Amino acid sequence: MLEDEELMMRAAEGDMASFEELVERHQQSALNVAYRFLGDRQLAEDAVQDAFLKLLAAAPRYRPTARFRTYLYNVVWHLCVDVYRKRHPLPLEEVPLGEDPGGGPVQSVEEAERAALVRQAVQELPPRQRMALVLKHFEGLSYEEIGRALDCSSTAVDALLVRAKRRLQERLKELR
Amino acid sequence: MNCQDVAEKLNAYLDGELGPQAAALVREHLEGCAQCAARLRELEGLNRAIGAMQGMPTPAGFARRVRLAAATGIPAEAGPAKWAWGGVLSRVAAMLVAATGIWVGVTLGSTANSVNGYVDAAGLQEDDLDLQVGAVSAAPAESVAAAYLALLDEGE
Repeated sequence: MLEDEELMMRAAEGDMASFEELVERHQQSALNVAYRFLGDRQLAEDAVQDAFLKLLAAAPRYRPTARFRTYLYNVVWHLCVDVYRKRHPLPLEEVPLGEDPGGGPVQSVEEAERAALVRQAVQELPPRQRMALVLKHFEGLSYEEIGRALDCSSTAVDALLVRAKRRLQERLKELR
Repeated sequence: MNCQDVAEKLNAYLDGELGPQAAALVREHLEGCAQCAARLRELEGLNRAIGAMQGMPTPAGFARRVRLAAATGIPAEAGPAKWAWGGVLSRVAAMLVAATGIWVGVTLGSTANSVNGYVDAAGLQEDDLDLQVGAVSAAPAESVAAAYLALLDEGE
């Protein structure tokens, strides 16, 4: 199996099959990141499609100084922020209680209610805090990797996450 | 390490981002401080709640649509699965008609030039269809071919 960086180099030379394989490998992660940030499936799909197209356009200039995934998340981040700025505040996508939105195991009504509260509180976070949270909690990136994706230092990521968690704790107390 | 120091480091501690010495100091403090231990449990609970946020399923055919969008310069839209290929094929058919018309126009045009080969890696290869844009790259300024090329540029 070829490494992501090799596939990217091949895509830069016009190998569309390699490009499609890259998309298939990372589409789920990218969609989840965009969806958890934006709260809307169609917006997430559009942002991620754009992200892959932008990466392909920039492929001739690609240098594997970081993992491909980091580049992808960086582009997704910028596109998500663009959407956020155009549409802020974002309408929350309604998830009927007790129904599985399709992204994970079916939840009980109580779990779905709690998840909806958390989702609402997360959607209210400032963009950079929100994305740092998503990348840490769902993509398992290190602070250093998150920093590369968000164009900031790992110390800044630490501060973003501390502030995000503090806000969430306060907000969830208010919402309950 | 006092409670305020620990409070600032708790999140990084849970995330495994502290170095071994700092982590050991936090752990030592937590063993002797009920208040900070309670804060840790609260943070763990919050992390679990965050983890319950669900993602979205990958739409069927997403990678293929992205590839086609890359090949055609037209952003692909998702639709009901049974019509997705119909929409793509109709676009491809329209492009074929346009390309054929452009080819005829350029060939018969008064300033037709002989052109060889492909344009650079603009990448208009699409699955099994090979659209040779190189043939229209020398089209006259006001021609349909020039307008078509302008459309391609807009798509970038």
